[in-house]
Amino acid sequence: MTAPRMLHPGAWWLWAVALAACALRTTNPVLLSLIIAVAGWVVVSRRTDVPWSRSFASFLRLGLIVVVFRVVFQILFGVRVPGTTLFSIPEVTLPSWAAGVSLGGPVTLESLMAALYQGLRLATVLACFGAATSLCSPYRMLRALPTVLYEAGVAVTVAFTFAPQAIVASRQVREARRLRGRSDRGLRAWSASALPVLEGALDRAVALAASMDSRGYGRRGGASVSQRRRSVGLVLLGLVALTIGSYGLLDPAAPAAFRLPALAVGVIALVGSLVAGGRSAERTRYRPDPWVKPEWIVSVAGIVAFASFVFADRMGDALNPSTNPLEVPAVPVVAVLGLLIATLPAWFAPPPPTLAAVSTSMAVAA
Amino acid sequence: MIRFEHVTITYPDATAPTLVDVSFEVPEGELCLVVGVTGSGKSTLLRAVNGLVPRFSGGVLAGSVVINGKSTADLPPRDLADVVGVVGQDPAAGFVTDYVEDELAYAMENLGVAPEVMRRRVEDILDLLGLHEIRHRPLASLSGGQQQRVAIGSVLTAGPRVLVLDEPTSALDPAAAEEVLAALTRLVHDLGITVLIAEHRLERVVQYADRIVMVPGDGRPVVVGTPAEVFGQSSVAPPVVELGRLAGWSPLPLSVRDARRLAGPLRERLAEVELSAFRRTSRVVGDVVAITDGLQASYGPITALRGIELQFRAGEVVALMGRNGAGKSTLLNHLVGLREPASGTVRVMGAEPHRLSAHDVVRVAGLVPQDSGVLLYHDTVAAECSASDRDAGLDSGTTRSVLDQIVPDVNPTAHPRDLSEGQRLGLALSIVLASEPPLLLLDEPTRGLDYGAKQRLVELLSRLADEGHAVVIATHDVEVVAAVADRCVVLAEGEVVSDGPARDVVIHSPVFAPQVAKVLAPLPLLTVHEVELALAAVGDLPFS
Amino acid sequence: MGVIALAGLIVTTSGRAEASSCSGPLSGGEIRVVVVVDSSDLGGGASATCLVVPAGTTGSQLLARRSAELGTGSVRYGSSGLLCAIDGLPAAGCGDHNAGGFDYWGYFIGRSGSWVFGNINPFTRRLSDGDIEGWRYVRGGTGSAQDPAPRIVPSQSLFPSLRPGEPAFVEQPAAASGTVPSLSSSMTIDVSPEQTFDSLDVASIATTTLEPIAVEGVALASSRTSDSNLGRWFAIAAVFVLIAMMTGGAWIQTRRSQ
Repeated sequence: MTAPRMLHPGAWWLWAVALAACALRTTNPVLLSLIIAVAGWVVVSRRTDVPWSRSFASFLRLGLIVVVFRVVFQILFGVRVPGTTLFSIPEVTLPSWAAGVSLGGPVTLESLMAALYQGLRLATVLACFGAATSLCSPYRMLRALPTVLYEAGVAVTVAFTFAPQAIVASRQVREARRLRGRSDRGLRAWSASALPVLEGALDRAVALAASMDSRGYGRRGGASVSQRRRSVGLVLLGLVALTIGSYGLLDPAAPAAFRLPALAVGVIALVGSLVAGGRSAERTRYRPDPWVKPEWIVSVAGIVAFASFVFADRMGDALNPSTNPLEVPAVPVVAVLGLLIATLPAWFAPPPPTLAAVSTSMAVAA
Repeated sequence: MIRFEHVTITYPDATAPTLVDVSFEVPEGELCLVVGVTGSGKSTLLRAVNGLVPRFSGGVLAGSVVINGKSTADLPPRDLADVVGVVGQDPAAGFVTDYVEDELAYAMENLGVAPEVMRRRVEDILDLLGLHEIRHRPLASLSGGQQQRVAIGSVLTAGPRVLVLDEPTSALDPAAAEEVLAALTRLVHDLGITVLIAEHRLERVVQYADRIVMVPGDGRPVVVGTPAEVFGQSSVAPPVVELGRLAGWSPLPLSVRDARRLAGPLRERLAEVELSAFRRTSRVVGDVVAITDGLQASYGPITALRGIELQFRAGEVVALMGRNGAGKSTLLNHLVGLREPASGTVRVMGAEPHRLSAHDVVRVAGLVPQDSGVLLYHDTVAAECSASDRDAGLDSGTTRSVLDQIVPDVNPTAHPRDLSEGQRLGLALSIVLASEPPLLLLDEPTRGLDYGAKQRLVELLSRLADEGHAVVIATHDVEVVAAVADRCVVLAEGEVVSDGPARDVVIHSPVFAPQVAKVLAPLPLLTVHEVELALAAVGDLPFS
Repeated sequence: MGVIALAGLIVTTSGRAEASSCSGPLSGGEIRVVVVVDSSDLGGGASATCLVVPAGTTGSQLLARRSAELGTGSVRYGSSGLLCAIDGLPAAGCGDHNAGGFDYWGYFIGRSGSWVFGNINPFTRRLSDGDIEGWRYVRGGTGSAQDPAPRIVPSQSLFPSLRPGEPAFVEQPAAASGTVPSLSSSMTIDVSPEQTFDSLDVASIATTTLEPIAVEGVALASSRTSDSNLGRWFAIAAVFVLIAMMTGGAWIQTRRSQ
């Protein structure tokens, strides 16, 4: 076991993105549940003690809401593929211009299971994302961003913190309603608390911006205006080209020029902007996180899990069990082994420095 | 070092300028105190030092502000980061990272300082501010005083020569405030940094100040000078200064030590007087309004209150004191029914408040929370008043008239968030008082109030107690406690440490004694008003 | 799962046993409809089947009944509800991309002599007496009215005659089969792939009669044996034991750190 330190945020995010990519490849509920369990296990073993580390539970709850919504949508609006009917809800015939949508009708077991699988897949992706934010808070990720992307990253991070703060603020405002003699439950309480919460969020954002500005955020440093414009322009060009390229890959009807050439242009532009931006060296980093063996182990564990899923996909159909007709999902051993390898970070990543670790080390030194 | 030249600042949509023709100069290495009533423009003055006004807030700044030879008209705040460091009122709102060390290094990262230099400076600041034991802690787990010191450190690492702080000790208990002020004086005396502070609670700070800038507000000219010069005439003064003015001491004492040296004759004279006649008479207390029996409260695994047994009677003003985190706010929340006790009971007028509906509980107990802004969620003051009348089932205009008694001249079309602290507190108080609850609770009402507003609050609370309300006020401000409280309850770590008449609890405590008591010890006098009454009774005013 | 599918099919087959014949009189609440399936592009043929179904059956339910009656295996759908395969054709794939278009089963509605591309939802379209539905496998189609229609022309002559006393089947040359087809509850007319017809050419028609459907032959939904199902349940149980261990360990760790 290595000495306590914080892992490079890129390693955690790479691992989490690999798990999310695995989840996107499958609708097998057994594998998806295993992915969630793996993510939860690693989070509980290696999370830090900042407030962001408790976010995993919130993401799990959000995933549950997603699954419920998906199933309810299927019951109300889903395509009425014939199957074993469980129950029926009254059907509403829609005018011919809405012919593609069905409202009501018999609800079949197969369609419910299909909705459950798809909702579970989304919930798993959310859980992977929640694991990433739990293991390294967005602020740490921000510090690891290259200089050119830094300012965009700050906007994203501040937007990130809106949700948890809004939840806390809305609870305070609803309690305050009780102090004024109005009930703090019910729809009226929630809707009336929206405006004060938003005003409070705006005040906080302005205070944060003033504090950051007073400490030199956004300094031009040595770069001239034209240099900055050039690097920002390259970043924008790269992102647009990447978007076009990924769309082209997904849509078979797109002309060939919109696929790999667009992707290549995007990657070259982004790399160029990083190189150009890096040369002016506007920001330095205090104690940058090293990328050594534990980081490699964590990233490779995630990549191995993803590779095992690709392999299992080639080998058969088990990653997408059929729901019409309904069958018992098969469990591909390769994928399970890959996911077990993805739990390695729980042992091989260094434990984060917690209060207990610090105080014992100081007691030993004293 | 700091030079303001004919500075006039007008905010957008304002009818009159906030500051008119302000000119003063602060030499290097001085601690300069900015004083004035709430809403007079102190914050505006402070934020103009590094250019946040007008670049961040909007508005027009006429004149020039020059810091160490650099004008704020030429450079935006981020380019002045290595010249001026600004710490806002709420340090937690300005934190950008998760951990103490990262926060300290943030300014240097923005400035592009080399990594070895960064490490050295972080270690220096940790030692200077006494933060080395908490260097690995997440910022969210720090106490208020520690957060304030980390915020100061985070602007200091950039190496500025000027430090600007807006009410750094308002949210801190006396001990934490002393830590922060000690750190600031060390910066001034050891490093020669120029420090500009705005404070309401002058009694803590004025002894360290080299220069005072008094902002009277309403566009009147700013008064600049040494403390003795400025406080000789002003109405805003700490109790020690007022005592000195009353007793005719010269030069005016600024600290308890200076006052004690001059107070010998006054003490001898007062020792001959029968003082019990001039104490603030205790009110006649009525029936028990609220009672807690074995109250236990917890937040998750942390126990906030243990076995609290207290009674609150009508006509009594009870002061709840103790360190931050001792459980004062928790007790108030339980008394108004926002939280349910883990065990034990809370009864207000015979009912358990957490079981009552919101409509019923405001007729029994009313709480003005620490952040009075959470109570206000309408667009204008007039809308708040009429909503409050509707909720309490009163005739329209009742809340408005209560508001006018507490805080006169509030613009009815103003947005509640644009009001000054004192006005916002007054508005919240009038809303809570509209339904006339027998038990009135206030959580840290004196934060952000100047002496005049505090005096008005004290008079209001006395009047309410005379009318038969039970008033409970949780506060750090010992002067207010001395002026208005009949009884004092001290909490520590969730338990009641002492509960008795305010005079007895407060007078001999080194932490909770007001300045007058410390100066005139062992005489049992708490406020300047009592001294005045005693002297007048024996015909010794003016004292010489 | 197989048991449930089996039960469903038993319901279907028993329903069929009670339905009246396509050529005989209808009981109350029943209608006659014809469904044309053209899988010529896949190597199959084009066939038209007359079925008697309860009123208000949807287009998709009709397809399911047709598969049940003909014994050609249940219709395969994708997870989004897209129809993938009828009669097991194509064997794999569903709406795949092909040369700038899609390979899919197009849905048509027969109206007085011509096919109209169905912009109607087959899952909600309720059939009435005398409706003719068509399905054609399109290669490289665009999903619009330009796609080719089934090769059998929709006309009332696809329905067997109702007049009592008349033979309830289309006339045929004696050379075709040599036997007189007996009355059956549904009739299928097959057309060979290369020929298209404007009207029925009696000489080239061959009729087939249906055998009563054997229950086990139709139970294609559960094509797996129960043994491999048991193996799968074991694997699933093993993975859930793993998940329970991880969740339990995480729970204990959370408790200990508090």
